[in-house]
Amino acid sequence: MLKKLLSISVFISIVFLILLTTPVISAFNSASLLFGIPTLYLYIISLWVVFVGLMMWITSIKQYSDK
Amino acid sequence: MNGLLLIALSAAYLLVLFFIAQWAEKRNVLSWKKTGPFIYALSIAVYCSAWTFYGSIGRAATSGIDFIAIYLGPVLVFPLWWIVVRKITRIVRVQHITSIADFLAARYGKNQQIGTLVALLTLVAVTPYIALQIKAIGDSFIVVTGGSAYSWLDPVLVTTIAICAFTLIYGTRFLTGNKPKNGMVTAVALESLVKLGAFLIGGIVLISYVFGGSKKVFAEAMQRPELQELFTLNSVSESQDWLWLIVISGFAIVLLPRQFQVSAIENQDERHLKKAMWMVPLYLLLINIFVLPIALAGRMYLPESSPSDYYFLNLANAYGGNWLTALIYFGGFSAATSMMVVSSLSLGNMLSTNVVFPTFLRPSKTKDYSTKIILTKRLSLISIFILGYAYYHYLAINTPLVSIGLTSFAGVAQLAPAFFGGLYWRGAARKGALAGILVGFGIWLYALILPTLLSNLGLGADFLANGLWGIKSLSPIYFGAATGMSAFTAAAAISLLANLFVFVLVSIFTEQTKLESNQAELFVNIFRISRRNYDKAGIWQADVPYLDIKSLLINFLGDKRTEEVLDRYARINGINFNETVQADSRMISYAERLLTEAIGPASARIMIASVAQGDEISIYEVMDILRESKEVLQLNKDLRQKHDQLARATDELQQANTRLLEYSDIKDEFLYTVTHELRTPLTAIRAQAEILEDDDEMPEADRKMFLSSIVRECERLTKLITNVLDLEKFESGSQKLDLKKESLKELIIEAKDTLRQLIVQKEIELDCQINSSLPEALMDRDRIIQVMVNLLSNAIKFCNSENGKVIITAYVLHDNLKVNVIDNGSGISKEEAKLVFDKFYQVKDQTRKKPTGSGLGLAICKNIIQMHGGEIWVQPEPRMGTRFSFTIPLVLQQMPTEKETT
Amino acid sequence: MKKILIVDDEPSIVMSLEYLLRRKKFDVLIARNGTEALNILGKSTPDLILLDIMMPDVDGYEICEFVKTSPELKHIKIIFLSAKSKKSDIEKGMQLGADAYMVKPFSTKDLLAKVNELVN
Repeated sequence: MLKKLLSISVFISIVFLILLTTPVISAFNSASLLFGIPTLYLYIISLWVVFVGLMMWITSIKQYSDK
Repeated sequence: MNGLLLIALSAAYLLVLFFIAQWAEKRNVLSWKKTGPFIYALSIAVYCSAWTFYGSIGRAATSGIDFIAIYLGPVLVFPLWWIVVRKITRIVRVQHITSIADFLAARYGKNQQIGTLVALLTLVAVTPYIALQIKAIGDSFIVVTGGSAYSWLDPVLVTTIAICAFTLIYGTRFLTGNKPKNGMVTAVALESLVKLGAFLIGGIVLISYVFGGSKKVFAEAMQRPELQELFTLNSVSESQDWLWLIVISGFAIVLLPRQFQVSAIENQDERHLKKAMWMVPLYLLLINIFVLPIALAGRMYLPESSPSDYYFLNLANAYGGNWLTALIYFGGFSAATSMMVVSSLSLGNMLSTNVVFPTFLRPSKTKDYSTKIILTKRLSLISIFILGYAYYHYLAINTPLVSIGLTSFAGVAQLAPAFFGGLYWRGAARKGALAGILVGFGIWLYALILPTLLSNLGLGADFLANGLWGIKSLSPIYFGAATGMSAFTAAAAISLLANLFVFVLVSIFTEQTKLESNQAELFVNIFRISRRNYDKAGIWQADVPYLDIKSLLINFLGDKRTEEVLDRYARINGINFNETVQADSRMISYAERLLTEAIGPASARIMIASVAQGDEISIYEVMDILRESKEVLQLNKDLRQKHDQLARATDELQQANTRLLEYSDIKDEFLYTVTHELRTPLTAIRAQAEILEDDDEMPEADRKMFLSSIVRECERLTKLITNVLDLEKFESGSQKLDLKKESLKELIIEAKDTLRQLIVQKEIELDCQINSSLPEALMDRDRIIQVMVNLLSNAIKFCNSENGKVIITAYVLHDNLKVNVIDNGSGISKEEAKLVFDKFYQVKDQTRKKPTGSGLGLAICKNIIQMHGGEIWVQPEPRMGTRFSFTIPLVLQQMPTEKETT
Repeated sequence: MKKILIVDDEPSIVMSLEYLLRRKKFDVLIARNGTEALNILGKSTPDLILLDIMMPDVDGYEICEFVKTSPELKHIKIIFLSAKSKKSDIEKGMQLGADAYMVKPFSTKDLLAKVNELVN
């Protein structure tokens, strides 16, 4: 179980790295406002919030620690 | 704001810091369960220095969103925190490591070269960074107070000295020994809170209240074309920068000396790592959330000349009022000072352990280094501050915060291949690490440090402009121009990649020493090696007098600390040092680790080696031995099991053997007796036959006598043989009874008749008292007659020689026919009564000749009677002699089977 | 005339031996058990004893031992005649000082030969 969780963690890292670098990020790379907030900025901040949420969730799982 | 007021506030702030630290020391705050994880996470936030507070805004104001890259890197690293940092923490704890230089030195064979190189590298990379903090304090002070300079009192200098004092007191409290630095860590955590609070409050007040909300700010900025580019990552170069910044800052969150210090060395509990995994990313998010709005606001609402680094302060000053400005000032102040405290501690430690100690520490039995060690550590710490201040004063004055920071990051990133390689790749070798770091460091120096140095000194303009040998792209400024990356990114990328390449290549083609591979194993497989095995690894195979170890420890750790640790060791392991003469390998290992804390792994090893003079066996050998002994133990266990089984089997075998021998004996005896019995008549027969043969002139009477004797002996022989065969049949159970309804009376009478002659001959009075109404019963006629004949003839044999009297009685008793044969002989003893039915048993009667019987008769009788389901026995008859009795059941309980006769 | 003492509890054997020896002009004394033998030995001294072993009271071994340890009797030759045929029996007999051991049933020819050998 622990191994699975750790793999998920690594996966999160990699996924978000991809999401935050080109070419994915270039999709949001426009000088425009989305809901009044710069698109890119909004994108990054939203991802960040989701990320924090994910980390909170995964570390709350009991098996996420050594015996 | 009034300068003096700010100074006073700063002094007050510093006092509060000292207070908090003192209180934390007293209350042992780091051991509090509830707050532990928070303090740990907040201490990691020391990552956010003045660069975060001021530099980020400056960068956002000039190049836009890419400022956030250096925070995304760390954020992305946190999911790996548990995997990576936990391993690091475990190693640090187990090997008693106190700095990243020691970590690498220990990993690569407890090698001093590596340690020194890393120490120098971090020194060069981080000192400017410290200078940067000092500069930030100075600059922010000027911004807030409106530029009043004090010639008699340089607040920057005073602050630096105060922070230095703080670090000395709370950082080097326990110079030898890794006791929790309650004061320092708590203060740092507190400052992280202040940073965050200040930023958030400042941000909310300014953006939400003053400027009407962030949306408004964004909308307004959108109107201005020159600001639009701040919303995006523009050219290719920016996206390259973006990626490399993320990568490098990802390394930085682990490898920066101050980060290594708080996340690994100061960690008290591995479980804290879990909380940090979401707390720190959250912190980083919160502290950055207002950066872009403020940067934009600054661009829009502040004069163009206003330095972008200090937009925050200036906006507060212009639009928020004194208290807000002060708040933000102290936010920045906290950011700067906390960075200084931890970094200087770390650097000072590395300086003393890896640069200074190797110059004068020598193995010696007598020299007491303990005071020198403490002094050196303190002086090293002070010199870091001096260096930092010097750098700030003479060199850093004109360089923007950001580039210093980035240069630092790129420098520290040179440790990444050797560090992470060493952590996960057993094959990572010392020479590889050395080569890699040297290459990376060299390129970094050339590309990033050199230009700054040169331009500050006003030299080498030509070189910078035109490059080496006229190749423009070799010029540090145009580095990577061909690739389209910014100079910085190019330098960082090339140095790292070259570093990695050389590291791997050299490691592959280099052989590791035993110690190296030992250490590699201990690092890479830390979680698989139990503490016990660990203690055995690198065994000092020597008998070291305990006192030698003790004096060694005293020489380096001092009396008090040595006393402490030895007491602790004794308590934990139940040893009485008064009785100890030799220190065992565990103790020596322990002593080595204690020394590592004080003087680093390389020196510690040298010192121990001077006393222990043992050859370290590689952990592989240990593992092999342990595996072997495990196998042996298992084998032993198996063997013991088999042995037990064998013992049991042997026991059973022995018992069976004994029984067999007994049977064999019995059988032998039987055979022997039988053959003996057979031989006797044979002897007579033969002798007589031979006599007859030889003597032709024998008188007829004699001849007849011999012949009849021969015949008689033959009969005897035959009888014996028959008896034996009979008995054998009975014994083997192959005898079968021919059961018919018979009249017992008849059978007795018949037996009597058979012996009539003998009775008459011996003039024996025979008295038959047979009940007339004896019922019939199932009997084997011949056999019962045989029994009667036997008993009768015995009675006749043994009755009184003068007036022989034999009485036969027969009647019914309890469902049985009972027969008694009584003689008036000399009776029978109790012992004989038991034995008389045994095979070949012949009554020892001294007055008589040897009985003519074979001794089998009664045994056969017993078998016969038992086969009928009855019993036979003998007892003395009072006033007479001997009484033989047997019973035959009237109704056979069961058909006698073949196995009845035992 | 040489005297031979026959010690055996088996009448048929005694009879045979007696006849055999008398025919060969030996003087024959008879004892039907160990006790009788000892009595006879107390009164007269034969030249040779034909000694059975298995006897109810005093067995042949004891007689032999007695004879061979008595200074005035030990010159008497002893031939064991016994159905006891085990090697250990024979050894025992010889160890006790017997001059010969013949296993029953024996050949009368052999016996006479042995007797002559020992007596003459």
